[in-house]
Amino acid sequence: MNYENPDLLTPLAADYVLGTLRGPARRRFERVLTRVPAALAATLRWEDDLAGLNGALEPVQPSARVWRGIESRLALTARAPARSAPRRAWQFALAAGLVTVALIAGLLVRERQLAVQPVAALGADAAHPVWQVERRKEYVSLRIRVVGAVERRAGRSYELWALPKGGAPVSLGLLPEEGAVDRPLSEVQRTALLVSDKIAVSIEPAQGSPTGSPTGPVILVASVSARG
Amino acid sequence: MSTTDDAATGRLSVPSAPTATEPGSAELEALLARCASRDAAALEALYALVAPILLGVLLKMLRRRDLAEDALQDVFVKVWQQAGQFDRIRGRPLAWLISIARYRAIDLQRSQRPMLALTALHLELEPSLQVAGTAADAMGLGLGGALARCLDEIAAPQRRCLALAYEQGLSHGEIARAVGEPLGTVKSWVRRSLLSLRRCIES
Repeated sequence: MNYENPDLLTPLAADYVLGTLRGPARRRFERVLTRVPAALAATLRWEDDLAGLNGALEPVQPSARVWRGIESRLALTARAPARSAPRRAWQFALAAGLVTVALIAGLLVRERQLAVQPVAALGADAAHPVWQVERRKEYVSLRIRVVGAVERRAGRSYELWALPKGGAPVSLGLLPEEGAVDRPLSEVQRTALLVSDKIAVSIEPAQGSPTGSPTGPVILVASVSARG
Repeated sequence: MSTTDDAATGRLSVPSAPTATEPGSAELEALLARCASRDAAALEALYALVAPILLGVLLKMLRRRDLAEDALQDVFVKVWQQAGQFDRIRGRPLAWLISIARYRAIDLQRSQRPMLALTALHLELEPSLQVAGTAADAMGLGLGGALARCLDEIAAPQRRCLALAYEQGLSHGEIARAVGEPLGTVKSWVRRSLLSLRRCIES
Protein backbone atom coordinates (compact mmCIF):
# COMPACT_ATOMS: atom_id res chain seq x y z
CA MET A 1 0.00 0.00 0.00
CA ASN A 2 0.96 3.60 -0.34
CA TYR A 3 1.99 4.59 3.16
CA GLU A 4 2.14 8.26 2.23
CA ASN A 5 -1.61 8.45 1.66
CA PRO A 6 -3.13 9.94 4.82
CA ASP A 7 -6.57 8.42 4.14
CA LEU A 8 -5.04 4.97 4.44
CA LEU A 9 -2.37 5.84 6.93
CA THR A 10 -4.52 7.54 9.56
CA PRO A 11 -6.80 4.57 10.30
CA LEU A 12 -3.92 2.12 10.06
CA ALA A 13 -1.88 4.10 12.59
CA ALA A 14 -4.98 4.33 14.80
CA ASP A 15 -5.34 0.55 14.68
CA TYR A 16 -1.70 0.17 15.63
CA VAL A 17 -1.83 2.59 18.55
CA LEU A 18 -5.10 1.20 19.85
CA GLY A 19 -3.59 -2.28 19.70
CA THR A 20 -6.20 -3.85 17.47
CA LEU A 21 -3.65 -4.25 14.68
CA ARG A 22 -2.24 -7.68 15.43
CA GLY A 23 -0.01 -10.44 14.23
CA PRO A 24 2.00 -10.11 11.02
CA ALA A 25 0.22 -6.87 10.09
CA ARG A 26 1.42 -5.31 13.33
CA ARG A 27 5.00 -6.43 12.70
CA ARG A 28 4.79 -5.12 9.15
CA PHE A 29 3.60 -1.72 10.32
CA GLU A 30 6.42 -1.57 12.87
CA ARG A 31 8.89 -1.98 10.03
CA VAL A 32 7.10 0.73 8.04
CA LEU A 33 7.44 3.06 11.04
CA THR A 34 11.21 2.87 10.85
CA ARG A 35 11.37 4.03 7.24
CA VAL A 36 8.28 6.14 6.47
CA PRO A 37 8.29 9.45 8.35
CA ALA A 38 4.61 10.07 7.54
CA ALA A 39 3.69 6.79 9.22
CA LEU A 40 5.67 7.70 12.31
CA ALA A 41 4.08 11.14 12.43
CA ALA A 42 0.57 9.67 12.13
CA THR A 43 1.34 7.18 14.89
CA LEU A 44 2.72 9.81 17.24
CA ARG A 45 -0.38 11.92 16.76
CA TRP A 46 -2.61 9.03 17.77
CA GLU A 47 -0.39 8.24 20.72
CA ASP A 48 -0.72 11.79 21.93
CA ASP A 49 -4.47 11.92 21.31
CA LEU A 50 -5.27 8.62 22.94
CA ALA A 51 -2.89 8.87 25.90
CA GLY A 52 -5.42 11.23 27.48
CA LEU A 53 -7.80 8.27 27.65
CA ASN A 54 -5.81 6.66 30.41
CA GLY A 55 -8.57 7.87 32.59
CA ALA A 56 -8.53 7.05 36.22
CA LEU A 57 -4.91 5.90 35.86
CA GLU A 58 -4.76 4.29 39.23
CA PRO A 59 -1.07 4.22 40.02
CA VAL A 60 0.16 0.95 41.49
CA GLN A 61 3.40 0.79 43.43
CA PRO A 62 5.68 -1.82 41.86
CA SER A 63 7.39 -4.30 44.15
CA ALA A 64 11.05 -3.76 44.84
CA ARG A 65 12.14 -6.60 42.61
CA VAL A 66 11.18 -4.67 39.49
CA TRP A 67 13.75 -1.93 39.95
CA ARG A 68 16.38 -4.41 41.07
CA GLY A 69 15.75 -6.38 37.91
CA ILE A 70 16.10 -3.29 35.75
CA GLU A 71 19.33 -2.42 37.44
CA SER A 72 20.80 -5.83 37.01
CA ARG A 73 19.66 -6.18 33.41
CA LEU A 74 21.13 -2.83 32.43
CA ALA A 75 24.30 -3.20 34.44
CA LEU A 76 25.57 -5.70 31.93
CA THR A 77 25.47 -3.32 29.02
CA ALA A 78 24.80 0.17 30.22
CA ARG A 79 26.95 0.93 33.22
CA ALA A 80 30.24 2.69 32.83
CA PRO A 81 33.11 0.17 32.98
CA ALA A 82 34.55 1.87 36.05
CA ARG A 83 31.42 1.02 37.98
CA SER A 84 30.64 -2.33 36.51
CA ALA A 85 33.85 -4.05 37.47
CA PRO A 86 33.46 -4.05 41.26
CA ARG A 87 29.77 -4.63 40.84
CA ARG A 88 30.33 -7.73 38.82
CA ALA A 89 32.79 -8.98 41.37
CA TRP A 90 30.14 -8.51 44.02
CA GLN A 91 27.52 -10.26 41.96
CA PHE A 92 29.94 -13.07 41.32
CA ALA A 93 30.47 -13.46 45.02
CA LEU A 94 26.72 -13.80 45.49
CA ALA A 95 26.35 -16.11 42.55
CA ALA A 96 29.04 -18.32 43.94
CA GLY A 97 26.82 -18.84 46.93
CA LEU A 98 29.11 -17.22 49.43
CA VAL A 99 27.35 -16.63 52.66
CA THR A 100 27.27 -12.88 52.86
CA VAL A 101 26.60 -12.49 56.54
CA ALA A 102 29.39 -14.83 57.48
CA LEU A 103 31.75 -12.94 55.23
CA ILE A 104 30.77 -9.55 56.53
CA ALA A 105 30.73 -10.31 60.19
CA GLY A 106 33.20 -13.12 60.27
CA LEU A 107 31.51 -14.28 63.41
CA LEU A 108 29.68 -17.43 62.73
CA VAL A 109 31.27 -20.61 63.80
CA ARG A 110 30.50 -23.92 62.25
CA GLU A 111 28.60 -25.25 65.24
CA ARG A 112 26.20 -22.36 65.23
CA GLN A 113 25.57 -22.72 61.53
CA LEU A 114 23.95 -26.03 62.23
CA ALA A 115 21.28 -24.40 64.29
CA VAL A 116 21.11 -20.88 62.94
CA GLN A 117 21.85 -19.92 59.39
CA PRO A 118 22.33 -16.50 57.89
CA VAL A 119 19.60 -15.09 55.69
CA ALA A 120 20.95 -11.64 54.86
CA ALA A 121 22.76 -8.61 56.13
CA LEU A 122 20.86 -5.39 55.72
CA GLY A 123 22.79 -2.17 55.45
CA ALA A 124 23.69 0.66 53.12
CA ASP A 125 26.74 -1.33 52.04
CA ALA A 126 28.36 -4.62 52.83
CA ALA A 127 30.82 -3.16 55.28
CA HIS A 128 28.19 -1.49 57.46
CA PRO A 129 25.30 -3.82 58.14
CA VAL A 130 22.52 -2.43 60.32
CA TRP A 131 20.50 -5.59 60.80
CA GLN A 132 21.52 -9.19 60.54
CA VAL A 133 18.81 -11.66 59.71
CA GLU A 134 19.30 -15.29 60.53
CA ARG A 135 16.98 -18.22 60.49
CA ARG A 136 16.46 -21.25 62.59
CA LYS A 137 16.77 -24.41 60.60
CA GLU A 138 13.70 -25.16 58.50
CA TYR A 139 12.62 -21.55 58.78
CA VAL A 140 10.77 -22.06 62.04
CA SER A 141 11.71 -18.55 63.03
CA LEU A 142 13.88 -15.60 62.13
CA ARG A 143 16.37 -14.02 64.46
CA ILE A 144 16.92 -10.38 63.69
CA ARG A 145 19.71 -8.52 65.41
CA VAL A 146 20.58 -4.86 65.31
CA VAL A 147 24.29 -4.66 64.59
CA GLY A 148 24.61 -1.06 63.40
CA ALA A 149 23.13 2.35 64.04
CA VAL A 150 19.38 2.49 63.37
CA GLU A 151 18.21 5.95 62.42
CA ARG A 152 15.04 6.49 64.44
CA ARG A 153 12.16 8.33 62.87
CA ALA A 154 9.22 9.50 64.92
CA GLY A 155 5.99 7.74 63.99
CA ARG A 156 7.79 5.53 61.50
CA SER A 157 8.93 1.94 61.55
CA TYR A 158 11.10 -0.28 59.42
CA GLU A 159 9.31 -3.25 57.93
CA LEU A 160 11.00 -6.33 56.52
CA TRP A 161 9.68 -7.97 53.36
CA ALA A 162 10.32 -11.19 51.54
CA LEU A 163 10.30 -10.64 47.77
CA PRO A 164 9.15 -13.96 46.33
CA LYS A 165 10.00 -14.57 42.70
CA GLY A 166 7.03 -13.64 40.58
CA GLY A 167 4.84 -12.63 43.50
CA ALA A 168 3.93 -9.70 45.70
CA PRO A 169 6.08 -8.84 48.74
CA VAL A 170 5.20 -10.66 51.96
CA SER A 171 5.71 -8.90 55.26
CA LEU A 172 8.15 -10.47 57.69
CA GLY A 173 7.23 -8.02 60.41
CA LEU A 174 8.78 -4.88 61.83
CA LEU A 175 12.49 -4.66 62.43
CA PRO A 176 13.76 -4.01 65.95
CA GLU A 177 15.42 -0.67 66.60
CA GLU A 178 17.68 -2.17 69.23
CA GLY A 179 18.68 -5.56 70.54
CA ALA A 180 17.39 -8.69 68.87
CA VAL A 181 14.09 -10.45 68.27
CA ASP A 182 13.24 -14.05 67.62
CA ARG A 183 10.23 -14.14 65.37
CA PRO A 184 8.25 -17.28 64.54
CA LEU A 185 7.32 -17.51 60.87
CA SER A 186 3.85 -18.31 59.60
CA GLU A 187 3.41 -20.83 56.82
CA VAL A 188 2.88 -17.99 54.33
CA GLN A 189 6.02 -16.21 55.45
CA ARG A 190 8.06 -19.40 55.37
CA THR A 191 6.91 -20.27 51.86
CA ALA A 192 7.54 -16.73 50.63
CA LEU A 193 11.03 -16.71 52.07
CA LEU A 194 11.85 -20.05 50.51
CA VAL A 195 11.20 -18.69 47.03
CA SER A 196 12.75 -15.26 47.61
CA ASP A 197 16.12 -14.24 46.27
CA LYS A 198 15.89 -10.90 48.02
CA ILE A 199 14.50 -9.31 51.10
CA ALA A 200 13.81 -5.61 51.50
CA VAL A 201 13.16 -2.95 54.11
CA SER A 202 10.61 -0.20 53.67
CA ILE A 203 9.70 2.75 55.85
CA GLU A 204 6.15 2.42 57.15
CA PRO A 205 3.82 3.97 59.73
CA ALA A 206 4.58 3.07 63.35
CA GLN A 207 2.27 0.04 63.31
CA GLY A 208 3.59 -1.24 59.99
CA SER A 209 2.11 -1.12 56.51
CA PRO A 210 -1.68 -0.72 56.72
CA THR A 211 -2.20 -2.44 53.35
CA GLY A 212 -0.08 -5.57 53.60
CA SER A 213 2.19 -4.27 50.86
CA PRO A 214 5.06 -1.80 51.14
CA THR A 215 3.61 1.71 51.15
CA GLY A 216 6.69 3.75 51.96
CA PRO A 217 10.05 4.03 50.25
CA VAL A 218 12.10 0.86 50.02
CA ILE A 219 15.41 1.79 51.58
CA LEU A 220 17.32 -1.47 51.55
CA VAL A 221 17.34 -4.60 49.46
CA ALA A 222 19.60 -7.54 50.19
CA SER A 223 20.20 -10.89 48.61
CA VAL A 224 19.21 -13.96 50.53
CA SER A 225 22.15 -16.21 51.23
CA ALA A 226 22.43 -19.65 49.75
CA ARG A 227 20.22 -22.10 51.54
CA GLY A 228 21.96 -24.83 53.43
CA MET B 1 -3.65 23.29 29.44
CA SER B 2 -4.93 26.23 27.45
CA THR B 3 -8.28 26.12 25.79
CA THR B 4 -9.91 28.63 23.56
CA ASP B 5 -13.55 29.28 22.95
CA ASP B 6 -14.47 28.61 19.39
CA ALA B 7 -17.06 31.26 18.64
CA ALA B 8 -18.32 29.57 15.50
CA THR B 9 -19.27 26.30 17.16
CA GLY B 10 -19.61 27.37 20.75
CA ARG B 11 -17.31 24.51 21.66
CA LEU B 12 -14.08 24.30 23.47
CA SER B 13 -11.13 23.31 21.37
CA VAL B 14 -7.58 22.51 22.27
CA PRO B 15 -4.40 23.11 20.35
CA SER B 16 -3.57 19.88 18.56
CA ALA B 17 0.17 20.24 19.11
CA PRO B 18 1.43 19.38 22.57
CA THR B 19 2.31 22.50 24.47
CA ALA B 20 5.85 22.69 25.71
CA THR B 21 4.85 24.46 28.90
CA GLU B 22 2.76 21.69 30.43
CA PRO B 23 3.95 21.27 34.00
CA GLY B 24 5.74 18.04 34.65
CA SER B 25 6.36 17.41 30.97
CA ALA B 26 9.53 19.45 31.13
CA GLU B 27 10.78 17.46 34.08
CA LEU B 28 10.14 14.16 32.30
CA GLU B 29 11.84 15.48 29.18
CA ALA B 30 14.88 16.55 31.16
CA LEU B 31 15.11 13.12 32.76
CA LEU B 32 14.82 11.41 29.39
CA ALA B 33 17.58 13.61 28.01
CA ARG B 34 19.81 12.61 30.90
CA CYS B 35 18.93 8.95 30.32
CA ALA B 36 20.04 9.43 26.73
CA SER B 37 23.42 10.56 28.02
CA ARG B 38 23.59 7.42 30.18
CA ASP B 39 22.82 8.97 33.55
CA ALA B 40 21.54 6.04 35.61
CA ALA B 41 20.33 8.32 38.41
CA ALA B 42 17.96 9.93 35.91
CA LEU B 43 16.46 6.56 35.05
CA GLU B 44 15.89 5.91 38.72
CA ALA B 45 14.21 9.31 39.16
CA LEU B 46 12.07 8.68 36.08
CA TYR B 47 11.14 5.29 37.49
CA ALA B 48 10.06 6.82 40.78
CA LEU B 49 7.84 9.28 38.92
CA VAL B 50 6.17 7.13 36.31
CA ALA B 51 6.58 3.44 37.18
CA PRO B 52 3.40 3.38 39.33
CA ILE B 53 1.39 4.98 36.50
CA LEU B 54 2.75 2.54 33.93
CA LEU B 55 2.13 -0.41 36.22
CA GLY B 56 -1.48 0.74 36.54
CA VAL B 57 -1.79 0.72 32.75
CA LEU B 58 -0.07 -2.66 32.44
CA LEU B 59 -2.18 -4.30 35.13
CA LYS B 60 -5.37 -3.36 33.34
CA MET B 61 -4.09 -4.99 30.18
CA LEU B 62 -2.29 -8.03 31.55
CA ARG B 63 -4.37 -8.64 34.68
CA ARG B 64 -1.64 -10.59 36.40
CA ARG B 65 0.73 -8.74 38.65
CA ASP B 66 3.76 -10.89 37.87
CA LEU B 67 3.30 -10.42 34.13
CA ALA B 68 2.68 -6.70 34.54
CA GLU B 69 5.81 -6.27 36.62
CA ASP B 70 7.89 -8.24 34.14
CA ALA B 71 6.53 -5.98 31.42
CA LEU B 72 7.34 -2.91 33.49
CA GLN B 73 10.91 -4.10 33.70
CA ASP B 74 11.04 -4.52 29.93
CA VAL B 75 9.61 -1.04 29.48
CA PHE B 76 12.34 0.63 31.51
CA VAL B 77 15.06 -1.37 29.81
CA LYS B 78 13.66 -0.14 26.52
CA VAL B 79 13.33 3.44 27.74
CA TRP B 80 16.99 3.38 28.71
CA GLN B 81 17.94 2.03 25.32
CA GLN B 82 15.72 4.39 23.33
CA ALA B 83 15.76 7.57 25.40
CA GLY B 84 17.91 9.16 22.72
CA GLN B 85 15.07 8.84 20.24
CA PHE B 86 12.64 10.78 22.33
CA ASP B 87 14.15 14.14 21.49
CA ARG B 88 13.76 13.45 17.82
CA ILE B 89 10.09 12.72 17.91
CA ARG B 90 8.99 15.31 20.43
CA GLY B 91 5.70 13.89 21.53
CA ARG B 92 4.57 14.26 25.08
CA PRO B 93 6.92 12.30 27.25
CA LEU B 94 4.26 10.53 29.28
CA ALA B 95 2.30 9.65 26.15
CA TRP B 96 5.49 8.14 24.72
CA LEU B 97 6.15 6.16 27.90
CA ILE B 98 2.57 4.90 28.08
CA SER B 99 2.76 3.82 24.45
CA ILE B 100 5.90 1.81 25.08
CA ALA B 101 4.14 0.12 27.99
CA ARG B 102 0.96 -0.59 26.03
CA TYR B 103 2.85 -2.02 23.05
CA ARG B 104 4.83 -4.26 25.36
CA ALA B 105 1.60 -5.48 26.94
CA ILE B 106 0.06 -6.15 23.53
CA ASP B 107 3.10 -8.16 22.48
CA LEU B 108 3.08 -10.11 25.73
CA GLN B 109 -0.64 -10.81 25.45
CA ARG B 110 0.04 -12.54 22.18
CA SER B 111 2.33 -15.06 23.77
CA GLN B 112 0.40 -15.29 27.04
CA ARG B 113 -3.08 -15.54 25.55
CA PRO B 114 -3.78 -19.14 26.46
CA MET B 115 -2.78 -18.43 30.04
CA LEU B 116 -4.60 -15.13 30.24
CA ALA B 117 -7.76 -16.36 28.62
CA LEU B 118 -9.11 -17.75 31.85
CA THR B 119 -8.97 -14.46 33.66
CA ALA B 120 -8.72 -11.78 31.01
CA LEU B 121 -12.16 -12.19 29.60
CA HIS B 122 -14.03 -12.11 32.86
CA LEU B 123 -14.30 -8.40 32.29
CA GLU B 124 -15.41 -7.94 35.84
CA LEU B 125 -14.08 -4.43 35.64
CA GLU B 126 -16.29 -2.43 33.39
CA PRO B 127 -13.96 -0.39 31.20
CA SER B 128 -14.63 3.25 31.65
CA LEU B 129 -12.45 5.38 29.40
CA GLN B 130 -12.21 8.27 31.76
CA VAL B 131 -10.31 11.28 30.70
CA ALA B 132 -7.02 11.74 32.47
CA GLY B 133 -7.31 13.26 35.89
CA THR B 134 -5.07 15.53 37.86
CA ALA B 135 -2.07 13.25 38.25
CA ALA B 136 -1.79 12.65 34.54
CA ASP B 137 -2.65 16.25 33.71
CA ALA B 138 0.25 17.35 35.83
CA MET B 139 2.53 15.34 33.63
CA GLY B 140 1.12 16.74 30.47
CA LEU B 141 -1.24 14.02 29.41
CA GLY B 142 -4.64 15.52 29.51
CA LEU B 143 -6.51 16.95 26.63
CA GLY B 144 -8.89 18.00 29.34
CA GLY B 145 -12.35 19.12 28.43
CA ALA B 146 -12.06 18.58 24.70
CA LEU B 147 -11.38 14.89 24.95
CA ALA B 148 -14.09 14.37 27.55
CA ARG B 149 -16.59 16.17 25.37
CA CYS B 150 -15.52 14.24 22.28
CA LEU B 151 -15.88 10.94 24.08
CA ASP B 152 -19.36 11.94 25.13
CA GLU B 153 -20.27 12.34 21.49
CA ILE B 154 -19.56 8.69 20.82
CA ALA B 155 -22.50 6.36 21.50
CA ALA B 156 -22.12 4.15 24.56
CA PRO B 157 -21.72 0.76 22.83
CA GLN B 158 -19.04 2.13 20.51
CA ARG B 159 -17.28 3.80 23.42
CA ARG B 160 -17.27 0.54 25.29
CA CYS B 161 -15.53 -1.17 22.36
CA LEU B 162 -12.94 1.57 22.34
CA ALA B 163 -12.37 1.12 26.04
CA LEU B 164 -12.00 -2.64 25.77
CA ALA B 165 -9.37 -2.13 23.10
CA TYR B 166 -7.47 0.74 24.65
CA GLU B 167 -7.63 -0.02 28.34
CA GLN B 168 -7.69 -3.79 28.32
CA GLY B 169 -5.88 -4.43 25.07
CA LEU B 170 -8.51 -6.73 23.60
CA SER B 171 -8.40 -7.67 19.93
CA HIS B 172 -11.31 -7.08 17.58
CA GLY B 173 -12.35 -10.72 17.97
CA GLU B 174 -12.25 -10.61 21.75
CA ILE B 175 -14.25 -7.39 21.81
CA ALA B 176 -16.83 -8.95 19.51
CA ARG B 177 -17.24 -11.87 21.92
CA ALA B 178 -17.35 -9.56 24.93
CA VAL B 179 -20.08 -7.29 23.57
CA GLY B 180 -21.93 -9.93 21.56
CA GLU B 181 -21.73 -8.14 18.22
CA PRO B 182 -20.45 -9.44 14.88
CA LEU B 183 -16.75 -8.94 14.19
CA GLY B 184 -17.37 -6.68 11.21
CA THR B 185 -19.61 -4.42 13.26
CA VAL B 186 -17.04 -4.11 15.98
CA LYS B 187 -14.27 -3.31 13.53
CA SER B 188 -16.22 -0.54 11.90
CA TRP B 189 -17.44 0.82 15.25
CA VAL B 190 -13.90 1.07 16.53
CA ARG B 191 -12.58 2.66 13.37
CA ARG B 192 -15.41 5.14 13.07
CA SER B 193 -15.24 6.12 16.75
CA LEU B 194 -11.53 6.83 16.47
CA LEU B 195 -11.93 8.94 13.38
CA SER B 196 -14.81 10.89 14.85
CA LEU B 197 -12.75 11.38 18.01
CA ARG B 198 -9.95 12.79 15.88
CA ARG B 199 -12.29 15.09 13.94
CA CYS B 200 -13.85 16.27 17.17
CA ILE B 201 -10.52 16.98 18.86
CA GLU B 202 -9.38 18.93 15.84
CA SER B 203 -12.55 20.96 15.56
